Amino acid sequence: MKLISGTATTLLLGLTLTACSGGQGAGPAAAPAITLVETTPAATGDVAEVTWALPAGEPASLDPARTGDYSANTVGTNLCESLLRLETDYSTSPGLASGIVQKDPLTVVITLRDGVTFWDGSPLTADDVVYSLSRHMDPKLASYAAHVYANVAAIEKTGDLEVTVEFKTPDMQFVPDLAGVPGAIVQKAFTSKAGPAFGTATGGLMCTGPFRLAGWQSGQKITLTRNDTYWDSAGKAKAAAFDFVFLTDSSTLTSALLAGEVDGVYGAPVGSIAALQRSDAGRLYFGPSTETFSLGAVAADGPAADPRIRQALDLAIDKTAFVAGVLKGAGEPLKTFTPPLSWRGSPARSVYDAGYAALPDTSKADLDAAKKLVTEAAPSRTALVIAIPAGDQSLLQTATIAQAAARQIGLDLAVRQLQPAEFAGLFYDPGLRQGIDFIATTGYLEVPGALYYAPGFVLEGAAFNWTNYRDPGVTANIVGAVSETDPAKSAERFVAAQAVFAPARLQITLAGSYNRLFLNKRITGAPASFSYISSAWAARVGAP
Amino acid sequence: MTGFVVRKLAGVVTTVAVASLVIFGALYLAPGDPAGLLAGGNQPSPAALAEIRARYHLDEPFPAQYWSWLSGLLSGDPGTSMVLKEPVTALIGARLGTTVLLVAYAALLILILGVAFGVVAAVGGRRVDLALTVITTVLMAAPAFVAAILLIWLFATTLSWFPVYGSGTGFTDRLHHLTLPALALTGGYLAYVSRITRAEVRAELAADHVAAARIRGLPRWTVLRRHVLRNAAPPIVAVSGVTVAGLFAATAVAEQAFGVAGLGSLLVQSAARQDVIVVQALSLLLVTVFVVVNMLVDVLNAALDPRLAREGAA
Repeated sequence: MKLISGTATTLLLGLTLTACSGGQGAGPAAAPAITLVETTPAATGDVAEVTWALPAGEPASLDPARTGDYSANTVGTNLCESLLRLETDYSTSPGLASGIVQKDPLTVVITLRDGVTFWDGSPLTADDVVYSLSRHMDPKLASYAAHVYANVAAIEKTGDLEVTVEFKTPDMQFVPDLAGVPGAIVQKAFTSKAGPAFGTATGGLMCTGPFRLAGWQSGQKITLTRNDTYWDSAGKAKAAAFDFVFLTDSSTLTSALLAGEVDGVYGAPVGSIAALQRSDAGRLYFGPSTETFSLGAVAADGPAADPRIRQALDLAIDKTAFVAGVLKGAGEPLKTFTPPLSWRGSPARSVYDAGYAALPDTSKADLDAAKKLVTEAAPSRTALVIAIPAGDQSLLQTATIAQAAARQIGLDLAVRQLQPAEFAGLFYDPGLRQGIDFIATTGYLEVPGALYYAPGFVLEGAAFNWTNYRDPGVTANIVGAVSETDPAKSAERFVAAQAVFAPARLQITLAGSYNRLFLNKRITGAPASFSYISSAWAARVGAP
Repeated sequence: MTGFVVRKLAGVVTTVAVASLVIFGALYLAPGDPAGLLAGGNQPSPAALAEIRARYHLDEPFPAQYWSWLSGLLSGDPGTSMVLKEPVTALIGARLGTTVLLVAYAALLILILGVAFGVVAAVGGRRVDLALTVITTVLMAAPAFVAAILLIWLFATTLSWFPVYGSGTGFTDRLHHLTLPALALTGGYLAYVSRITRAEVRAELAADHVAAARIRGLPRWTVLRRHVLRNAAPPIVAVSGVTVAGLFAATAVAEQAFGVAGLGSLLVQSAARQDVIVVQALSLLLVTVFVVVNMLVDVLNAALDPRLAREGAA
């Protein structure tokens, strides 16, 4: 009896493996080569209905002030448009604003496009823009984008179609931020009337985008319908309706894609890359992305606060093996925490590229050098703790890889899984960081800008400067970069700072992952670049 | 009998009251501060955090928090979701039908197949018995999420008989969508019910009154129905009741795996997002359902066999 049940279970498990991975025989070496594309072939015709999966689950809200994660961005950016548009190469172009000028280090002037209308036909006014931007500064609303407005002194209407933003301290990252959700515009009248229900399943939205919010069945799906009176006729949506369904189980999502029940997804499961590439139901595209995997030092004292220990851990981890193991080849090692895509669209791109090229390459492990650094640092203790959010498979793999690498250089790294609320608390409550040396995290930039991360990591007292990193030269250069209105000069100062802080490994950046887009063969046109996170991407999806 | 029902009801009320305190206390003591997750973004300001704590009474002492929650519940208002900003009653209302249908579907499959398998295994020959034992053992060994992967692979991807995911609309479409989730839930419970049935029927078949009935020349089916099944029923009903009550908790796995919008997937999602208000209401609802179903089973058994009610009184 025992034997039979044992055999049966083995048989079941064998089938299961085949079912979800589609055969383990083909190693990474046998996988088809990955080519990166920014877009997919343009759609030539309309399509009635598209079903799209959200692997991160149901959005909590579609209010731009409560939008700051994969699901809400994927849906919401097709509804509420921003002042600037994000292109697939992470450059920006005019959106609801026909132009935004950084007049001087403390003044930004926004000129609105004439003739833009909300879904209800009413025109977009400077009042709507002042209202939309000012919302993020209201502590009662607790906007996710509040930090973008941290240096703003005043937002005022200075003409029928003009809004001026004044700053307390210069912030060159502000203008590029307006290409994302922080620059999304909502209608003042509708929003103030809806109150806390704005952006929920019952409260609804009022924006200008190529799609309207047509329905939201809690737990089941969100339905968008084409906005036939869209102000930008060239950008009119090709799909009459878009249904977003919530499929958090990787195996079920993959089955639904293969069966054609779901037409597309951003962030296709890493574990299903091989199965999706073999499928004839559609095609898996890989695009450039700003998503990164890294280990962050969170302690102001102890071994993790010593740059030599961080450099040693960085040198002990083979990044190429990390990409093959955790990302199944769909990514590449990075030299620092600011991914190159963040400046690809900048006029000063060549300056940034040269600065990046000059950084030391630590993608290959160098155990001898790493051990030498540990000996030199002589840490007070060799038992360290790395925290990860419970239930995240990729980060658990990441932490395990870090653990194995640490063991080789005489460090004992214990993995501690934290519940989501505890993990989120680490980011603002120093008390919760007690007893933790490192965290494993993923992150992304939803807008362009080399200055998106650095100030928060390297300036004294900044939000993410948990190791109390201080370097007068770096501080002077970063403050100079965020105050410099000339892109080339700003880039030079950033690059000079980066040459010093990158080797300090405030973040041990392991890799950047590629954007994974699956499209059923009946549709095409979606951007393959991670730029979808801040653009009305669904409007481009149509028949091949 | 009336006294028996009243006593059972009192037990239900006591259990639910204790459960409410345990649930609220456990979430109060759980690590992490919901305010941080609710503030979202990556750098919530102290002002924003204070605002959120005040709004949800997170800064009040435990008894005050518990009381404001309980008084809300007793007045029929379990509050508003912290994350989705929708009333909890609306969230539960939108999903209750699907979960009840899924549980009813799975329960019917479990009871009909389980009892049938058990009876056939008990009265059939050795080969039949062995075959059914093997089948139920295999089913027992497969957890719901593994069964889900297999069922999807076979019936949805390969054969295209059923949809991969979703809850469907309208009665027949919903049944169509819920067939695979119901089958995934059925496995382990089915084995359990059929084993108990087989053992009880076997025991009854060996009893003297059954032998006497056979000697009197009664037809085989009559003996089985009147003498065997009737006496074997109470334990089978009791086990089935616990099974159905447990299904309400077990649906979480199947609902997550099949993308079904029910109470189980709402509970999982809310727990992950620290939507404490929804988790509290749902947990208490599940406990209440479990206790009430068990009470109904006890009452049903007492009706089948009045001696049980008297025993309880003694």
